[in-house]
Amino acid sequence: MSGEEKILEVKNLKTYFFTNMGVVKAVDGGSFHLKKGQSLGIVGESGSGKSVTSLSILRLVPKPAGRIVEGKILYRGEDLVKKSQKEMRQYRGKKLFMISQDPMTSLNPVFNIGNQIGEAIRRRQNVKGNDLREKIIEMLKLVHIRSSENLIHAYPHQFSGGMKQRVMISMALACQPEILIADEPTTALDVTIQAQILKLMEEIRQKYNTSIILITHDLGVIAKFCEYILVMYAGKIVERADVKTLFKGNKHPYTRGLINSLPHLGKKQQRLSSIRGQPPDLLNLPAGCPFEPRCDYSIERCSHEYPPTESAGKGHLISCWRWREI
Amino acid sequence: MKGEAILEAKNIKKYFLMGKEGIFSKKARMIKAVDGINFSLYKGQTFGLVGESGCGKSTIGRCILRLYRITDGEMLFQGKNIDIFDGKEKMQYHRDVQAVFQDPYGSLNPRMRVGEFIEEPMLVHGILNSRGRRERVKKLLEVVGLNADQARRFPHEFSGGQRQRICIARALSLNPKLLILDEPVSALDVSIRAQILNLLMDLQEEFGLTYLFISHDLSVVEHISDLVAVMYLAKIVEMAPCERIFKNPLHPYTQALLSAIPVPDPELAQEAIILEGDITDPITLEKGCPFRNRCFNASEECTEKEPKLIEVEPNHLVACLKIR
Repeated sequence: MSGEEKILEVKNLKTYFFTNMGVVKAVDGGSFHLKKGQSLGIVGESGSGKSVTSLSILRLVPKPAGRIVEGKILYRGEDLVKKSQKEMRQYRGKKLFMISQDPMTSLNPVFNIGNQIGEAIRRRQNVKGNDLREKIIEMLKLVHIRSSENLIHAYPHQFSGGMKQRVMISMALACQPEILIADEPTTALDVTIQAQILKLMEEIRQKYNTSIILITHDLGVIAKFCEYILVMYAGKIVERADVKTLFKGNKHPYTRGLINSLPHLGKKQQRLSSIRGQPPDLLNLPAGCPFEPRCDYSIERCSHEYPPTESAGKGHLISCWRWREI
Repeated sequence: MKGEAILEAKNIKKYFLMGKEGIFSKKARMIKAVDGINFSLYKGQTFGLVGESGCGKSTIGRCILRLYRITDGEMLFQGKNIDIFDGKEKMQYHRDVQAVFQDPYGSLNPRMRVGEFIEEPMLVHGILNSRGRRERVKKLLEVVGLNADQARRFPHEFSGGQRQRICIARALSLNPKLLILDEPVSALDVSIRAQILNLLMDLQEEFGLTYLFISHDLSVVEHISDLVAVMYLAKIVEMAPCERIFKNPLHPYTQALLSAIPVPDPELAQEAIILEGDITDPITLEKGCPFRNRCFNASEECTEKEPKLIEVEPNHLVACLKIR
């Protein structure tokens, strides 16, 4: 399905937040790439740096506390880190599009839906009047919004959560970006609506060969939607693998713990196996592997030295001292 | 399976008034948040209540906690109507029924030390002297898996999972019989969720607690519940013992809901039933089956008759005209 062409390449990305209490290493040395038409999933718990990764790609890291201190983000060979904010506008919306978790805050409450989609369309094409109106209706139809003729004058508050997320997707379609970054697009939605939205995103990927980065904490969504997956923990990418390897042949203790701690539908267990301990405090990370305090496999070395990234098979990269034994 | 019923809900209705239809209209608009629901909570068991947002599942929890006054129907706690409780009986009831809510960040008072927070209910109900209470706080902290010396800390020093443990400790401080758990793990990270679920199950065994577990997450409900009810727009559409409802769901909504959950297994071919449209607005609810607009099985009949919850198999109740 996905071509061999690398459309986005992130190299050793480090995004830090400089706060009064100290430096938070939100993303600490992440490298990955995205191919044309590929769906890449980033999983991790809150504070693992998955959202900051996506904000870094768009160069929207909150200022002044946050800064990309090191690394390259290559979009078709061009380094986005070196671009000025003015130059970045050529990329945002046109080449890179982001759908956020809360569709309520991403739409402007004082403009009607038609206006907002029209604005997105006019970024790409110079259309006006009736042509524009027809385009807008066409876009709304593409995301399966019924009676779209009447709805172009409606305001965001008249739409339900699922419909607002569809409007966001229709804006993405209007811009026809090469990369669609979806940051927890279905977390605020109900399960039956989530199924609709994921199906829609899959349709878009097939139809327009769009590359999608899906950020979520839900392993179920990842398993159904993504081809290739990054697992993040405390700013580090701890494991990278294709979807089958990740669920069946994972090697990192954190990935394994995460998958085992899910209750399985249809298989009722007496107790869930859980990862012990608490999530890491990003201000006081241990010198070695951040997962060491909670890991069942940790050895002395883990506490003072971060493991190198090693290859455990085709496209399967892992950072753990003991992956060979696991 | 069944035991002694600790709480019985008989035809519970909760309507919210929404103001007039128009300026000159005399008719008031109503939201039917809960519309004629019957269920029983059995001692030492967990009753799981599932549904999507706005279906009225939390309203039921609040009715039981007497945070809302029910519009119609009877809620019987150990055989007595909770609506007419007064004075001493009322205090005893609130001691017996406690709650844990979704957001452990919002439930804790940021200016109160954790120890004081757990102690507060005992203070209100005048239980034990001050030394006894302090001892009990320490014991409770250990019961929920925290350190006794953390009692002097403030909430901001704890993570989400730890805060939820603190809320559970407070709920347990009065030796309740029934706990209303309203989405207790939804705001927590996956790795922490399992810890809290295990803790809840351990506590149930240790203290013989009865749980009403309200959640939108079916896999969590399956894990913890003995009896499960699925709600759709103010009504229970299916109710059965846990294994039965997950192995053999009969109502089309339950089937769709179950198929829509993404299973974390890439090799499992999953045929998701994708429901059309959104949940109907509860204000514009018409007669007939509330699910008919989205149902893949709906026919003419569904717009006219309202399905009743009937027992189609032993202990398995379904509200659908197509299923007899």
